[in-house]
Amino acid sequence: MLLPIVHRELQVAARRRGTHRLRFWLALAMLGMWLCLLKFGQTSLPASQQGQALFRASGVLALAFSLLAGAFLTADCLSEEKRDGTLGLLFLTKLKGYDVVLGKLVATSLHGFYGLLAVFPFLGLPLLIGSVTAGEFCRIALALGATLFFSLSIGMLVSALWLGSRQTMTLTLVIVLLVAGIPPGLGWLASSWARGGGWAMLLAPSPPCLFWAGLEVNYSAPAFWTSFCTILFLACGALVFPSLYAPRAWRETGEAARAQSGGGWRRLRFGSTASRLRRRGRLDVNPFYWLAGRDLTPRWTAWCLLAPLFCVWAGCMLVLLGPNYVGTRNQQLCGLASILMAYFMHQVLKYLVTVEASRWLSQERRSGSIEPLLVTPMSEAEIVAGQRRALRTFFAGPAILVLVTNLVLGFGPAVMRQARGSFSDAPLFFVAGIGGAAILFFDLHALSLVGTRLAVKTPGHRQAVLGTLARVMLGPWLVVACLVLMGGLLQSVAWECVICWLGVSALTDLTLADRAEEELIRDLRDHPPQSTAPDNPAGPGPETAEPLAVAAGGPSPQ
Amino acid sequence: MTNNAPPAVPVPIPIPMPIPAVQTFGLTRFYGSIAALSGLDLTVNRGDLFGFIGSNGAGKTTTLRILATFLAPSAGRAEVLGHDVVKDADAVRHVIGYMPDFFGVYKDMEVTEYLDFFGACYKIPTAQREKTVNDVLELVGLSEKKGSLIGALSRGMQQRLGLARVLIHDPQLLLLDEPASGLDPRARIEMMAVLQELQRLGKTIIISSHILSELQTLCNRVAIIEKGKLIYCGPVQGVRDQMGQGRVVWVRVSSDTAKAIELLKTRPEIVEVVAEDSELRVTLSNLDTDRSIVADVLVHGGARLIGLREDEIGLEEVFMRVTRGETQ
Repeated sequence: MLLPIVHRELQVAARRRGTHRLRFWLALAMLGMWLCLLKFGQTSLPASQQGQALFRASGVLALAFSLLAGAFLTADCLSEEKRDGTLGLLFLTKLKGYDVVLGKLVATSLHGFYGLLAVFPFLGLPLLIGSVTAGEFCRIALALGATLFFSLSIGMLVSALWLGSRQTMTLTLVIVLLVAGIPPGLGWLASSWARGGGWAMLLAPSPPCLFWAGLEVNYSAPAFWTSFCTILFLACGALVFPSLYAPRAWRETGEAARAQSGGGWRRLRFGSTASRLRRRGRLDVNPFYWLAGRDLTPRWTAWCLLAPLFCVWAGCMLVLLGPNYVGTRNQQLCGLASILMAYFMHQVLKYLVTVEASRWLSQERRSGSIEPLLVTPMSEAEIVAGQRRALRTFFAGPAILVLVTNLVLGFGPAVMRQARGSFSDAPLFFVAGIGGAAILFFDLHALSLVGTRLAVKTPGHRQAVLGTLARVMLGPWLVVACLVLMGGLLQSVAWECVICWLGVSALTDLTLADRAEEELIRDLRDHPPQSTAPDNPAGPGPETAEPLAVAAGGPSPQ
Repeated sequence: MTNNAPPAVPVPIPIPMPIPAVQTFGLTRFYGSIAALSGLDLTVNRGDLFGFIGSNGAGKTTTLRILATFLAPSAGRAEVLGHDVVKDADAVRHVIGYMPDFFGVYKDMEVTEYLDFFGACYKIPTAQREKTVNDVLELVGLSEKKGSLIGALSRGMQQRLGLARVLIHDPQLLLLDEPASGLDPRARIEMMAVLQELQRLGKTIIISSHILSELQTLCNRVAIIEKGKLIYCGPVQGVRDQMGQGRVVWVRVSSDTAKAIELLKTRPEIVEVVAEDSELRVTLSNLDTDRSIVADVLVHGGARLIGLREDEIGLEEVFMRVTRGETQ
């Protein structure tokens, strides 16, 4: 049979409960968003315009889903097999690199594909209203499919090259967002400061630009199809490399080799000998604080990601608040960019906190090192406190940086109003900026606790990260999405939306954090480690992904 | 003054009752609807080197995890050195050292960092920790590897490091789940020597292992468990005796086997004599019968005895006979 693993994985995934559950929840979320938009939407607008707005809103959400899918679905699939040492077993059989890569791609991305499929009926509704043409619907569907494929392929590529779940997920996210964000940014800069054509080629690899080009009002066949083919080409390229590299990748001895290699990498991760000795003092404060805070990677990852974003944000703010050298339109664009950049920094920081909060215990469970830890007299509360303290040490600086953006965005418009008397929405910005700063802390608090809780509860790190973000952030994200996508409605119900966003966020955070902390302290010790449990006749839970090595071994159970 | 005191009666010297280190009472643990342990009653005395034997899935690891306070029992209770494992879990954690069958180590940590961390978990004061770490490393023979990264150690050394971690807070009871699994013969023998030394130092050790020949020589008491139920608990010798068959002696004579059989059958203590190949299989009536009677009968009857050996039933054979290999 051609591609036996793909065949088997499709059968297995079709039986998995999660596959159907995700489809249901995504369709429900989309339905909720539709009802919300219809309820608060501008009823005075003709149906065709309302349909167009809904089409775009649904499309943008689906685009965000497709862009993020790679980081959460495929980014850790090959690296996980490498860590567990099972990748090599596959290549002892007659399987080729492409068998494994395509099998893994299918196994891990079926959720994403079905999720996207659940969105399509809602995208098709405006078609019935008559506000969207069949051509536009098909182009957007193609753009979303290509985006999903691109994101998943980048995840596979990163997964083949790197080892740790944290690195693979973050790197995939960074690459996808860079490819999505840099071309439009460069295009905008080029069109603003350098006159002349030819800049459109820069936009071709960017999925959001493909989406933009697919909309009827912006549609131009060459731009759309060039972008579509470029993205597909990049995605296929990203799959070819792991197919060639995977048969060699398993020979890497991973952590052990790195542990032995020492040198610069070790210094980068754990600091110099002197700083390591200094940090030993933490053992007397809280041993888990020392343990969770040993690896300094999260700190410098946060700085590396947030500092450039902060610089871009600061540049935009300077253009916005300084003398008008760039024209009013560009100044307004800078204003919009600064808000988006600040929002983006928030999300990056929250993502990093989530990844780190769930990483340690998740890895400990998988490697079996949690058992020796839990039979010590260290209390559950101490473990939770140590984890939170380590997170504070890593992310306090970056959080302050993000806080600065909020404060400036909160107070900036008021200052501008004083100076120029031209900013009517200053009170709204003030509430949103200061409220956002408060919500940042609520969010970080909730993410750290829920992340730690799910690290103990879910089968893997990836699931813990995804579960945490879905629980803590999805509600507020949907509110923000509605807020942004309602466009013209912003003036009429902006206050209600901001207050609704702040309220939903605070309520979600406090409820979830409280529950997670209680559950953690109650259940931390009664979870058998995932990697072993030889006496556990119940075996792994239903959601545990089956290692591909096993899948390759025998005939498919019917 | 007359002495009216009653004549002195010799006071019997009291035999010290063994003090239990571990006791379980109807210990039960369910995973979903499946009972991994069903009403386990077990007693391990202080100073015992106690072997815990059972097939995979018999409930050994579950028992050890409950004793280590890592799992809560679904029913029944367990006491470790007088502390209830559920109600007084913190006190239990201070007096036990638990080594799981499979445990991950922090490969990017140095050996001393690893032990220092666990020392801190057990609240050993900083000033004392360095000495303790050196002592346990010395005990398990890893002193030379102090500054090494754990990832660079061999499997056997990592296992010994695990043992050092277990000993860092000087526990009274050691719970060792398959401590020798995956080790080469030399490392296994060294590990067993360390365990004997620990017993000599007064530790109580419960060890679960599949290498029964080693447990046979190492342990003074064993328990056999199957399908979450206790089949036997007692001295190693006792399990053989409890098999219910008489003592078997194999005899080799130089000639006239028929005469030798005749002679042996004259004794009432001998219940059966069967010729098998070039030897005679002699079954004595009970376990207390002195096997020298076999030699006496033959020598005095004029048969030329050239060999005599007792049929030793190993723990492996006992295990195979008393269990059916069933798991939950």
